[in-house]
Amino acid sequence: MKVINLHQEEKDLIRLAADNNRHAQQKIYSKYAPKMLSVCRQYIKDLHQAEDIMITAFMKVFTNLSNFEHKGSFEGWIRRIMVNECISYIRVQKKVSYLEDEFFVEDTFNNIESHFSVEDIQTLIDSLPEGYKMVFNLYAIEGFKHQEIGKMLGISEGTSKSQLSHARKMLQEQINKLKNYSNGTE
Amino acid sequence: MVPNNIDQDFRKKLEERTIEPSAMAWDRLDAMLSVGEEKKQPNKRIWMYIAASFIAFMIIGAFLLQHETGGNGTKQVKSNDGVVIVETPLQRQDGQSDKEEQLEEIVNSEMTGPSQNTALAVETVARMKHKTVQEKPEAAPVVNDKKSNTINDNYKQEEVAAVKETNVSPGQESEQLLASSLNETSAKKKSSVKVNAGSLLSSVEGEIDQSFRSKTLQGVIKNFNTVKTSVANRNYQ
Repeated sequence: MKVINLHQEEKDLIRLAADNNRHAQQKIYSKYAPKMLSVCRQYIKDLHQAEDIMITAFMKVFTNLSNFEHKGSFEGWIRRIMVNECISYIRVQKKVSYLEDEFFVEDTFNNIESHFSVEDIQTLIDSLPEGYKMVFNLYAIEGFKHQEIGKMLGISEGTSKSQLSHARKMLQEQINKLKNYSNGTE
Repeated sequence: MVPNNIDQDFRKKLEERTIEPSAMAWDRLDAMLSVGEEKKQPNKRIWMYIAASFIAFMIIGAFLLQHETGGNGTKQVKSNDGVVIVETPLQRQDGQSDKEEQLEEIVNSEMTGPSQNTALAVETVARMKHKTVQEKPEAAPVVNDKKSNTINDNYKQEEVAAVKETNVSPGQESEQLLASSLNETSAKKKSSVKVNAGSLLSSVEGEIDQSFRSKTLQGVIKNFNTVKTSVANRNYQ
């Protein structure tokens, strides 16, 4: 019963925000902005830049709110807009080049035990080149398939797979370095 | 590729993370939304202006059309016996034509319907005639005295005739009225005062010129006197 009420409340809030009710828009922003800034930060290293992109994406959210059909989760819809905005920013600002090779290694992370903090994870992701980072984020964090990633980035499915393999290999090297560093200091 | 442990760990930790945006972020978004709304509004306003101007144009057009048809002056008057009288405006030379029309209307009304107030009608006819005759000397100041006397005589005769007519039986009155009105109009045409338009215009122009000349002369003299007195005072000082 409580869940139904909450869902209805969110629906009303969305309807009001779609009618340019600034109070409802602010409520939606306050609820989702911290999570969405975290999403933007995964792709963009600079926090201020990530915030700018988040604001632009929220602008798109509010202007296209009438197109939301209440079929899926509202948070998922906003998150998708954030990811698309980040990708388009990277593609425009940083001309990303993808290596057209078929190199990929499967399950290289399976034997690694992760005890990293979220800051360490972010540092590891930040260390990746833009192409690798985007594919890794889209596949490992957002859960997209290689086919979808290929369409989003304008690359082939094979290229997406090879980018992921390269990203994982690089991450593994970074994790090993971190481990060695932490072992050395202990 | 199967999602592995580290992927799940990365995803879990990153999804749990929240980063508070700066305090200014909402203000910036608010400003952007306001600008976006302002950009959208002019389109609506433009359509409103177009619609309003179209309606205004239609109203003005309808008004002008109505005015044009009314200005033609063709009136269709339907009398009691089904006869449609179309009145077209005559070229009016002076105020007399108005009076004539009124007279004709009165006569027509007497002709079409059975009248009981014939005396009243005749009185009004006589009054109207009297007015038209009296108005003429005002309109034309240059009138021969002899002619004015004849006009007064005519007026007296007409009045007497009108009083006499009141004693006529109602059956004959319509024909008599018609005949009398025709006679009146013919007599009026004959006795109409001839005014020389050129002389009238020249006299009016002469008056205007004189008044203007006198005013300017008075002004010049006044100014000359003031200058003279001021110069004289200066010499004394």
